[in-house]
Amino acid sequence: MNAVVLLRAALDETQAGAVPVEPLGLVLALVFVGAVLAVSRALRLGLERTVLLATARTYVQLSVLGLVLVYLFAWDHPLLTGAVFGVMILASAQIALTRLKEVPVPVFRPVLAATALGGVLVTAVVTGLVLGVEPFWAARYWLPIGGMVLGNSLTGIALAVERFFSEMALRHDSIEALVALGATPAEARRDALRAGLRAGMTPILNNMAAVGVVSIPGMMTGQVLAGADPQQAARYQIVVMLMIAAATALGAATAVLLAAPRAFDADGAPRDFAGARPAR
Amino acid sequence: MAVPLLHGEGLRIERGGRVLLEGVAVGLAAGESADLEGPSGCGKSTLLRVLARLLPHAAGVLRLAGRTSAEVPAPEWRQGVAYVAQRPAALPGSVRDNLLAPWRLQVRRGQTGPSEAALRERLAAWRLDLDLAAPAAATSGGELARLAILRACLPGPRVLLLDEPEAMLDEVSAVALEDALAVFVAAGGAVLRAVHRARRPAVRRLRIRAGALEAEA
Repeated sequence: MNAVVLLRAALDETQAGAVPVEPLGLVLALVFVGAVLAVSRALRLGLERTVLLATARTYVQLSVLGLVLVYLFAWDHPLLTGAVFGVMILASAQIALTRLKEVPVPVFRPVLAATALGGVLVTAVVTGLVLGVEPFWAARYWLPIGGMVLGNSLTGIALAVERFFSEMALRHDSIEALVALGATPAEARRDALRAGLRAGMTPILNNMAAVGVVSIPGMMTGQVLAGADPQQAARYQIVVMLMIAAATALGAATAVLLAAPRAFDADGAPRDFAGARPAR
Repeated sequence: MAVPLLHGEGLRIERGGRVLLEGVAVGLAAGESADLEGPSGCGKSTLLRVLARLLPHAAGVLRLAGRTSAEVPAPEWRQGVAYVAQRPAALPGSVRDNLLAPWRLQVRRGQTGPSEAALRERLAAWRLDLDLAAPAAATSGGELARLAILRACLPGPRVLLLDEPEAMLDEVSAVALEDALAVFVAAGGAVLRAVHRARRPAVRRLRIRAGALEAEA
């Protein structure tokens, strides 16, 4: 009996009080930066400036984020939350685009539309249906979950678009042959589309297989550190993994389908990107 | 005078922002075979691709059996005008998959492809000693070149546009191909063939010189 009481007491204590990071702890964390700087100096990586800048950005950006979230959660106005999420979508699409420099056609709009569609739809389903938050756009839930959806689906979207266009270039001869036999663009691009979507889905599928065995995900770690019940944190993490998979699939498919017509000319023939780069 | 099967007029063709060919007039009648000559890089392949609408033309009019390219959807156009590239491309799958690929396309929905026996018979007629189940990618360069032409020929296009079809062929295969093409032309098809140096030139020869197309006696 005694042991049970003690255990209950211990649990209550953890849940009540997360160990806070004191200001001194933040300063002490700089020791890690010192180590990185020492390595950079010793191996002449020339990264000192970048490391210092990145460190400063981490401190400033996250501190500002914490502050901003306090106000956003307090205010909790759908228009304000929507505007912030819009900026997040734009930034996410922009980052995806930096990974698509090799793609020979402009793809910003397809990527933006796909990011927005996957981000809004999946986040709404999670907050409104899975978590049952009332109202579903409550900033405290919408913004962190939406942020995870965007941040994690971005890679898949970029990979899918990149692979699609590289397949189109790589298989140009056989795609042209198929078109010459009467294939429509939809028929001619089918294999490239499949390859692109598979490539986009691979990282999240690998993550889903490894999660809990190879890695304890950041969000779950954060919840546990903040004093949450590990079982609850696990449930949250399951929802998060599945929603990321959904957002990745939806976003990647949308982005590739919207961008794919740009690989063909008005007569449905595959454009040849091997030669001169076409004007953007 | 009969309406030419495939007809181009005042064609201007641009590549990478510069004019490659200007004022091209070309006509092919049913049962006609012609050679397209000219030095490397003069635009033979480009012209063939334009005729199959695999590349756009900047000006001029293209007609297939009297209808302009604007009136005919591109997949339907290519059903009538089949282009085979110089570098033959194997489609995924077996020799059989390759030969039946045209019938898996929307444009031939409702049509049935040739039977196994018919496929074997055509392979034999083209003197292609290939197993239908063998992977197409494993065939030799010369076999694949003829397989690609047979693949384009099987669904019965009205015009065949062949880009240097003999480039990868030995003497025996080249003769086999010419015999097969002669059958196609005798049945009312038209063939336009880009050639670097023809083994057995066609009666009609077209030559690209300085960005223009001229007929040669």
